[in-house]
Amino acid sequence: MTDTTPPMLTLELTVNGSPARVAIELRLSLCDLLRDSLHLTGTHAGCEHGVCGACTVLLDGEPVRACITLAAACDGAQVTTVEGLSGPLIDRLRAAFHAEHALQCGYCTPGMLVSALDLLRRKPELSDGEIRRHMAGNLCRCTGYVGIVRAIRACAGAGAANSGVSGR
Amino acid sequence: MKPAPFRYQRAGSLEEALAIVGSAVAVDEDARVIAGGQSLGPMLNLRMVRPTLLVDIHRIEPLRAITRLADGRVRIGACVTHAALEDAPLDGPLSGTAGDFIRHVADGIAYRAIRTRGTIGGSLAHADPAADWPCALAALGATIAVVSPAGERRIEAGEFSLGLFETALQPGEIICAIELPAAPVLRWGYRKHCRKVGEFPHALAACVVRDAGACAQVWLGATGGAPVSLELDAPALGAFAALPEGQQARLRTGLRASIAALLPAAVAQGDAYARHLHAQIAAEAVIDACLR
Amino acid sequence: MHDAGSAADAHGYASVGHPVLRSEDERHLRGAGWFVADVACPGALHLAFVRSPIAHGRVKSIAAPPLQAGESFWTAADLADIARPIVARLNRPGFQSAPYPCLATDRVRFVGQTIAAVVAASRARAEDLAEQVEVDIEPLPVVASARAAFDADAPLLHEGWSGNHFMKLNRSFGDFEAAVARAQVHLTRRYRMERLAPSPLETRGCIARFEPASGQLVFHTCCQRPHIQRDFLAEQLIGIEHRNIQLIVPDVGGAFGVKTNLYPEELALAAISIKLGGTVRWIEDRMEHLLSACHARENDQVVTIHANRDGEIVALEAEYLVDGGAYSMLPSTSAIEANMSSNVMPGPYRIRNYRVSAISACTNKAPTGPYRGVGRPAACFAMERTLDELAHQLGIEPHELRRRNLIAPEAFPYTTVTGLVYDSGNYPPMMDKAVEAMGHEQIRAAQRAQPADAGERIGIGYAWYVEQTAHTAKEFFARGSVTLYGFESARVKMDLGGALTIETSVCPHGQGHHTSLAQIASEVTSVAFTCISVRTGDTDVVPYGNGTFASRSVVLAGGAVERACRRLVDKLRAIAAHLMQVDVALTRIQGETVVGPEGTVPLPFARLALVGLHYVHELPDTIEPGLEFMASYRPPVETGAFSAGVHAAKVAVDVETGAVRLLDYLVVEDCGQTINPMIVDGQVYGGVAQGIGQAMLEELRYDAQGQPGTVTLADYLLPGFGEVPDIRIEHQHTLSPFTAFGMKGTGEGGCIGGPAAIGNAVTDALRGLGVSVTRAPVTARDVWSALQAAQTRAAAEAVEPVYTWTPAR
Repeated sequence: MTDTTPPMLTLELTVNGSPARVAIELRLSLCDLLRDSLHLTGTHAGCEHGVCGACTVLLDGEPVRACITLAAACDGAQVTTVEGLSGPLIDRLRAAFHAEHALQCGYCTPGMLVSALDLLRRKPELSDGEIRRHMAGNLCRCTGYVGIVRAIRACAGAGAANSGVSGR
Repeated sequence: MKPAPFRYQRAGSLEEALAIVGSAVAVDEDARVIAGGQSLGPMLNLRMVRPTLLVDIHRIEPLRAITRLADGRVRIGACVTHAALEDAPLDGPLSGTAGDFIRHVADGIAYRAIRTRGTIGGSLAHADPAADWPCALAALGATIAVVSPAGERRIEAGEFSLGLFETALQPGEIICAIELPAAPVLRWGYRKHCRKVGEFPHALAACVVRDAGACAQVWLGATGGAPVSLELDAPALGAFAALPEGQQARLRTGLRASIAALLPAAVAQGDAYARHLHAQIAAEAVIDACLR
Repeated sequence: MHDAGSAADAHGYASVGHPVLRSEDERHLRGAGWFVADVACPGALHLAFVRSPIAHGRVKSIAAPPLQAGESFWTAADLADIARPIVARLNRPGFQSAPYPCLATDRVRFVGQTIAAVVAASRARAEDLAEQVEVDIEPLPVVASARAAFDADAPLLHEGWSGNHFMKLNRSFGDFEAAVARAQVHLTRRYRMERLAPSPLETRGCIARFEPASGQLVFHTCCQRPHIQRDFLAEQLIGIEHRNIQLIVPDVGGAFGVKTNLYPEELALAAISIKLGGTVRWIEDRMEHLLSACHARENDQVVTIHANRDGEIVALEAEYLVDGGAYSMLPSTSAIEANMSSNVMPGPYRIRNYRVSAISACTNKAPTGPYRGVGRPAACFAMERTLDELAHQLGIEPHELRRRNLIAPEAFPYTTVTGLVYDSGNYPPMMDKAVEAMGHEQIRAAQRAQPADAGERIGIGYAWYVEQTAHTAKEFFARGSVTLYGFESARVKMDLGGALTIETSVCPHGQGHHTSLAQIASEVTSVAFTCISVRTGDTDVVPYGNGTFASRSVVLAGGAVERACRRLVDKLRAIAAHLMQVDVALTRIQGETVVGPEGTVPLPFARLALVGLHYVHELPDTIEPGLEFMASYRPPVETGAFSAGVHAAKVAVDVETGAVRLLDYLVVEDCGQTINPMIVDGQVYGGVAQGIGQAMLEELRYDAQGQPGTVTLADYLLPGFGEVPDIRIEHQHTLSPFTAFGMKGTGEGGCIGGPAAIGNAVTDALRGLGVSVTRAPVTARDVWSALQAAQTRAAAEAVEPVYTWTPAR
């Protein structure tokens, strides 16, 4: 094979509620699609092999690792990145992350928010142990997780109920 | 850390997938079937594998269904995600104790954002020795249905994995479903040892009991090769739950020792700690099954 | 979201000592952080490196891949006329330097070393090309460990060296021999601390844009020290002056020391950008990070405590052997770990006789350099583990033995046996607090209640550290540093609205400087916290200074901000006094106004700013127009402010599997006056998590051929939610007499105590079973293997020599 032109595809999908049509190399990851083609740089690449969770986004409403999801496999899909998260629960989560010092450098934060939002939607009632188990797919190197656990706890169960916010 | 170039085709039906794979096989092209890509994705990015063609089957609807067959067997489509199994309703096809086992195993695989994409069939086809399904499904006595242009054939789950990234799949074959036996599961135990939450386990064991009486068989995973099954001759285990504490402790120790003695030499060759760990985890799985 | 802070008072003022919520958070929570990989660089070309696949060899030939238009290929020869090899030096007798080329010239000395570079339209394409580069390397014998570096048949790794060591030092303090002769007990132990990868979530990365028309190089990079990094680049690049480089540091996604060095990759990128006259981008991937960003620790230790039977330490003796890797990083060198650990070992204890030897060996592994804690985790591990062993041998509670040796509060300022000047401290109450808060006696009671054959055993362990922070030029000079970090600076500007902008030389990567420094400015000027912006990380904008590292920023930059703000306040008062026609001494700041004596009308800052900036005709000749004040801060005492802490861990050990569970983790810390206690806690939590990682999980492995076995995060395990417990912190505030507000730094303390405290707790749990922790990380495999070994032999107290080299004494 002397032809080095990479195989391409034109992809149509909805990102943060807006339609997007992009010509991509077939080997492109969803993460690079979002960052490089669509300039949505809130989704961060931390390891590019599915371990750290920094690139977690919602794909058709479910959290996925954007770094090991092929962009080509997302044709027709709905993608939501940190930039596109909205609603009372994410507002409360953001406020709780701020109040509980749940971020330092901010690099893991977008992935944390996406995972935490998904967790709270699925399991509005959570103990600290459950928060720790279910969030284990997202690494943070700065906070020691203490503030993040507190922030999620503040939005779970009684914490959320007290503030009048519940998980959808 | 970007993959080497490849072509990609999404199949709309199983027939189409078979045709694409078939023509690739015919010209000796390195084609790989991909579903969620949660095992293949990292390997592609690390350039540990470099197929020239990926055939995406994850949108083939029949492969995403869980159905209870008329004879009581449950058929799980190959592209059912771990998350879908984790969330499988208690009153659906995965009702009962076997369903509990499946839900438990699914819930413990890696992390939610992996489980939403990763599929049961993909895990089997990838045959990572440390993966959960090859061992769990072997213990459950499941059957793997695979298709080729020649038709469908069935392989016992316990005979499907052959070794590190090696399976009984022939070139051109695609896993289409996993079938669970109709006979009810009475009790089960499932244990793994990970150094951290969600990490690939270093020892893994499943014990599924369908007959009243002794827990007779335990399957070990993460052994470096295919899952290993051990037959236990321990009739006293049947009454384990009813025994006084001291006797339970003695039985536990004895069970560990007998499993250690049964471990094939190939398991964690020459690594005393790993072999101990396998025996320990297997014994705990058996005891869980006795207590559950 | 824009809350000025939970502790702001009714007027929105949030000043020193309050847990003000961070101004940095909002953009990150929206996904609007701006990291180096996020910098838009239209038309940029992407670079991938060809890296050595073997640990040691002679490069015989390099063949270019087939290139298409717009693609380029680079080897050392192509950059020889523009990039000098990096040489890190240390002013210590016998220190050996070696050139570290940006692309290998003739030899490669570790797996992952840069050999060539390919530039293409995408990173993926550049990687395709890099794979096609054919490199012929003749393998040479490999030095795969520090010990092997001194084998008789070990190859000499750098030409002209006298042996495979960067540095060897032998130091003796006090009347060591006499003290040893006097001691009643002698206890020797050996330990090993494995090699680590600092692993910030954001890897390294940079974008070099050379503009041929202006001759300017605009260099975006994620580093900790913008001006120093610019200096280094200018010194390395032939034909480029300092003033021709603008170095911009956007948000930095964690650094922990790894981003203080000038790397070959950065130099290569700058050089290639200049050659191409365009923009070149390199974002390190995780595998590259684990292979070639600076590693840390890998420290073998032999420790002897000479003591009296009552537990008093009479003399201390230590040998450190550090695997420094193949090259020295600029500027801290591969001697940093050995130097620091040997220097700080006496910690909080009254030790007057000390003998130490330290070697930094050169091996065929990735270079090592600074990682949060530098040397102190190893010193703490060796010292604190041995103290527990001594306590056990003497039948004294470990906390009591420590108490008997702690420096007394009235002894400060205290000069340690190695010459460190501890500014202030009050240690005994911290020990009491830790013992009380851990429920020490309850743990002992629970241990006594455990049956002899318990499958799970609990244990408790303590570890002390003293953390030198905010030390400056003289101290670095005394250590032999070539680059000296003498001060930080800040420029405070008041605008027409009476709000402030602060430009400062420190360069945060998660520490919340923008918040803490604004608090200090708010404290001094009384301008509302929400009306203060802080700018960092652009050499064309911020005044010269050193950057963010070594637990110094809040003290030094805080000192500079305080000073600049006082100058501003003086000016505002002078203007006000003139307008009021009163003596300046009769004016004072209240809220955002200057208030004069009775009968005068208070003047708001905005009014004074108007006069100072626009209506300057209202000013007398004696008052210069303008409201910008620059200050630098060099502390009056250069030896630093010393924070201290005691960590305590409670663990449960499963004797069947060797698995260790952390049940409780407590930090009692003292960093003087805190500016923002929430941020201090955050630093402690994060540091502790890294300490736990080092204590239980993290370890870079190399085989006998120098091949790394940990190149992904599936192999190199970072602690996650499940591995870090809910950490508790207790505070004490012993002010520094030498700093503004009595502040002390606190960035590193959290990660120092983990391996020792956890090692002690695991050992405590397994007392009676003949197992003691000698390695960090302590893994289930280690514990189980030790339990097995203990069953088959009586616990031997004898210590074998840790390595064949015998220190010259």
